Amino acid sequence: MRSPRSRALERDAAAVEHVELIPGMPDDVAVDCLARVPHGSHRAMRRVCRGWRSAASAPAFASARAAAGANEDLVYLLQFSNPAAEGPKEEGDAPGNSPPYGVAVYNVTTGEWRREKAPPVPMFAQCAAVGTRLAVLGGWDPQTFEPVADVHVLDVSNGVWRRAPPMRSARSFFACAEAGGKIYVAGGHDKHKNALKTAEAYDAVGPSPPGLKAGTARAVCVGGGERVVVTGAIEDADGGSGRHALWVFDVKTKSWTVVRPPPEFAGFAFSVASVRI
Amino acid sequence: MAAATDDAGDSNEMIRVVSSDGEHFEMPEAAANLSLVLRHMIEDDCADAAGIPLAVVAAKPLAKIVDYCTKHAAKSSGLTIEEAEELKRFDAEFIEVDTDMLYDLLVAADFMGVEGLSKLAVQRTADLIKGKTPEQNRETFGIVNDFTPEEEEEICKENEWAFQITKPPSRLC
Repeated sequence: MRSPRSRALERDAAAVEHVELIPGMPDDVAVDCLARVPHGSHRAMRRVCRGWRSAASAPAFASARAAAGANEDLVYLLQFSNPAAEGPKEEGDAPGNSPPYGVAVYNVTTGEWRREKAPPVPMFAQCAAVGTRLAVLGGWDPQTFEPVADVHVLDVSNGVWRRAPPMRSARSFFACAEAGGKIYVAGGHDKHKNALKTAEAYDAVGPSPPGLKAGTARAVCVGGGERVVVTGAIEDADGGSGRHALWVFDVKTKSWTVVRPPPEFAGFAFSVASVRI
Repeated sequence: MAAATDDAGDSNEMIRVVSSDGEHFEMPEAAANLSLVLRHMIEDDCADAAGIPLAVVAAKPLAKIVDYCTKHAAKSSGLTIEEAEELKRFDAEFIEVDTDMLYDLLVAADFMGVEGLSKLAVQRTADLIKGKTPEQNRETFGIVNDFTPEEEEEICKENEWAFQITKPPSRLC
């Protein structure tokens, strides 16, 4: 019986230009196999050889996973790690320098938890996702505790982090939500803990929500990406900001509408979600 | 209990198949029908006493496939929970094979169009890959590491720089 090794040697001897993904197996069958490997093992899979690396990153891989019914749903959480609860250090972590604030992943499909291998994330950074890309925005420099404008994007389909163009303003504790393929950020604090009145889209600066004086604002995308709703404190004519309001951004017309709730609904919203029925 | 009312019709009839290395096998027609290729040949009246030749399937994997199809054809519809569990156990034991046999089954199931077996073998391969280091996977599947040392270094490094904070650390007063 041929061993995997002898099969590899046969292949080398034949000096074929095409290298099979799995020696001895047709490539379409091999891709079907790779597509069914759970996402948690993809990083290691891409480090096996060139063939696996490109097969497991190609857009066709996403279709193969969908066709095989192998899609998984992941929820990304930015959180402080609990050093008391952490097990032995993962390889690559600098001793005694484990990131206090980082990216945790809950796999809804498999029920597994893991920490995303990422270097230190700015403290209190926020995240939002567009397609398979996860953006980590703003937060505090862990050394100076000053807000940063940095945006980093993890392409979950190939596991690569990239620096993206920074936001126009350094922000912390702002609202952020995805709508129509863009990420909208609004409000938050600047480095003097002043409330920021501006909003911006991740890849283009958008108009600011009129009158938003939110320190801690919240945002949610509604209607499958047609609109973004931001909640926060509104600046009154006299400059006061006791009242809260909603700002609705229309993605198509790029215009804001201010919604002043009746007094009994004008309290600060700690959390928002959107439902279409 | 035999599945009496499936689309196999005269399921008592035995179908003969011949492996690439000339060995003869027999299975009930209902079992042969689980292979798309065999079903088409039976429908086209190509199944005769000489047996259907399978040019690319050797005797060893063919014996396994006949075994698989016979078991699954006998329990094709109206399974009780216990029977479904038993079939699951059969599948789990059936696919506990070495990688050579696994490849042969993958290729043969693909060629013969035995969908259930294809899925089972593909999932088994995926399970072998899952949770393994790159080196373990190379070993299991006889894969040559064709990354250049420069590429290796790049792969290891690719995430290191991502989270350097852009602003130079300003002094706190």
